Amino acid sequence: MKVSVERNDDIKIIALDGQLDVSTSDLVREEVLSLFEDKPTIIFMEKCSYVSSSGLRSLLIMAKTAKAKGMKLVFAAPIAEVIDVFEMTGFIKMLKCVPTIEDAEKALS
Amino acid sequence: MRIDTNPTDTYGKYKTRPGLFLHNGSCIVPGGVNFSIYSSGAKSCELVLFQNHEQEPFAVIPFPPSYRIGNVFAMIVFDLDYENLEYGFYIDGVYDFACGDVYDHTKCLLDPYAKLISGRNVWGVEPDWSNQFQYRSKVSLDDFDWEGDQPLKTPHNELIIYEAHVRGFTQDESSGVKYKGTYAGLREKIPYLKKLGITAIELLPIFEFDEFEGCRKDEEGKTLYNYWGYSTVAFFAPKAGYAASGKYSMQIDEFKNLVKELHKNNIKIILDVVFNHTAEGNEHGPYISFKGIDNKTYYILTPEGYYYNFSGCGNTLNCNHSIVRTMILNCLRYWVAEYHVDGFRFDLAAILGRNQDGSPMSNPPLLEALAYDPLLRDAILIAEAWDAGGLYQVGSFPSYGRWAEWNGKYRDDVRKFLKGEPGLAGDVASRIAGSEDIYNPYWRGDCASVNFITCHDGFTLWDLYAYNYKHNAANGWGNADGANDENSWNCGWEGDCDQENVNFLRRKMIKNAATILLTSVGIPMILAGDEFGNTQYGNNNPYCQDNKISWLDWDMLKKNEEIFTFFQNMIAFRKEHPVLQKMSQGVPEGYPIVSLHGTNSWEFDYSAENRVIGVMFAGKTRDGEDDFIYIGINAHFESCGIWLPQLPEKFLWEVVANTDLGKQAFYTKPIPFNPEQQFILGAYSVIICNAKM
Repeated sequence: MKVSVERNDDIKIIALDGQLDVSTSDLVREEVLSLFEDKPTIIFMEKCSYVSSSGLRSLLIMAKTAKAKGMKLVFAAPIAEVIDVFEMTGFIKMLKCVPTIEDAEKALS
Repeated sequence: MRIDTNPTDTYGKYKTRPGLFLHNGSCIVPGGVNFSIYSSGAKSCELVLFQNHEQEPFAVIPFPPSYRIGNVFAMIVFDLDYENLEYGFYIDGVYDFACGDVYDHTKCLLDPYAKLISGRNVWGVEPDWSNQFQYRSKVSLDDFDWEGDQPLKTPHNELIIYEAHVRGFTQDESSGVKYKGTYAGLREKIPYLKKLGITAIELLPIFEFDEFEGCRKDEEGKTLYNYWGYSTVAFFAPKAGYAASGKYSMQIDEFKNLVKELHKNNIKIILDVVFNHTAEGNEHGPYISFKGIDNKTYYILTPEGYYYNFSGCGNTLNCNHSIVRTMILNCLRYWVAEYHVDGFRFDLAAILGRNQDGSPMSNPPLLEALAYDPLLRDAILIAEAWDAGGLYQVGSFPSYGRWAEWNGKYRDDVRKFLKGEPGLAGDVASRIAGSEDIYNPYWRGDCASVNFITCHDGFTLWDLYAYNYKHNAANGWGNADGANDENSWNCGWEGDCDQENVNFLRRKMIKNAATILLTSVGIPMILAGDEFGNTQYGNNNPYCQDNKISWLDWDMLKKNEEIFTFFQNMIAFRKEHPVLQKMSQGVPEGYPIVSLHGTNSWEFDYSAENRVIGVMFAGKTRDGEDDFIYIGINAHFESCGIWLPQLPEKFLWEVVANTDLGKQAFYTKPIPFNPEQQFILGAYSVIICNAKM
């Protein structure tokens, strides 16, 4: 999975590209956490094609770390299958998700 | 960094080291996965590893002699992708049927401690029968964000149990949920459960089972499944096919989330657990796990090596053998500690008290261990205190002051009395008062009796008053299956009827049953769907019906709103009056807590022909005020006048409910009643009166 920063001004957008599973989730999590600064952040998930059980945990740790830092964090544009996983498992209640980047920007303002 | 995180050996390209001998099953360790298994008769053991859903293993790694201590094999394998992994064991040993050893090293065996199973990931998907390894162990992630949740600590007295089948609860289109027939779907119905007011949901078996076990086609070619699930494949794993996310093997998270949401809404969760037998059947049944791991330890065998069948399902788990006892205890502790489950109902629990030769024990080590286990201290333990081998222990189940029981006598006495059978007035009065004749509170406490009129076995409450006879032809056994002693009454017509007088009587009889159940001392249990008149079309044993016979028809909620509202009001009434839950702090001066009455107050008629019962409870409200409740029952086909008991000065009886009044059965505002007059109790009717200051 590739992690890239697509925007970094008053809002930071970190994009995930690929599958988030046991082979990638630890590294991705560490990389994303290392990119956290004291500013509102969007994790852009449009190109994240799959999230496994360990992937869910990495996302949750991102959310909890952000909360602990007092940093606003939103997950934007997860694909339908991924949102489905969040809803079925109940993780949706702990991950703030919105359908688009624009919705995310609104949520963070 | 620990010094035991490095491999010590290699086997081909796999790096290994001796594993965790104190652990059972698999777990993730730094750098790898640990696998541990016990077998008393194994000469050798091999770990078999598969990629997800693959027929052939990608590795078969023997446990070297140094990886065995006593009868335990343990190995850590490094650098495994544990999400793309399924595993099993080949175990070699002696085959000597008469001695109880049936080792077969060609069978790939499921880990008996597997916390996650693959193989039946989506309900009803036809398996590949050529696959030699049908139910596959997987490595589980057991961390979960409980956000402060714990098993609920409310007293057992407050339990109002709702018995439901996970799939049947929401599978029908009419349920309106997104994730039909699943744990997630059940979660979507939590607002409904809260509105109804129940305080605990009891789920039919959710331990992994095979819906295709024993499946067959009926005359029309429709598949009949193992739908109820009383046949366990894996005791530590939630059924994947009940999870919307089962296809991704995320059932653990989905189920834990269900528990968390139930608890947030003050609803406990009780699991129906089946330790009396397993899905391996007898000598003709499949090798799943126990048979091939340690047959004579896990099963009660005859001296010739055959399987005792006290369960009626082919085999009997050897519950009081030390190893099996430990497994059962570990299992329950696991579900409480890891899943925050609030209690268990034990199917055919009399088997848990049988010795290794099948004889009943007066002091069964398993039951004693469960009663005193510290982790299980707050869990409700409910026994179905009989088995299929003739051991009937209602009232005599070895309880250690801890166990509750399904009070089968409550069901039978109340059903018979309500339809007008003679000779039951005294018994029913005892049932309402808490069945102290069966469960002496000195030994059994206040919560030993689980009172029920319906459960998954038998008619629904609607069908109890719509059918005189069972209609089980759809089950394919020529209507020979199912109980023949339902003590039901069709109210004048067999089955579906559009005559309003018949349906009025049916609804009234349902309300009668609900009133008695929810004002009786003990723990009431309601069958899911009874609160809106759900029907199974007269089928009293739909264990194999995965269709509209078994699925709740939520369209009935609108059609029978009258019944739902009545149940809702009755549940609220029960919660409002501590004396009904044996939680009253004190008694009004000069009154006993419970008193029996007849057409005249303070005079109870025990004669066989009496059909009129009055039970009065006298206690205190939560504010410490005197509180009197009178339940009047007339099971006669003619109305009768009754005198209500005299109250202290300044108290006045108010009628709260009268089942003879159709939609107005439960009054929105209680109506004062003049005690100088007789109350005319209608035929087949029940009233509740309440008197407070």
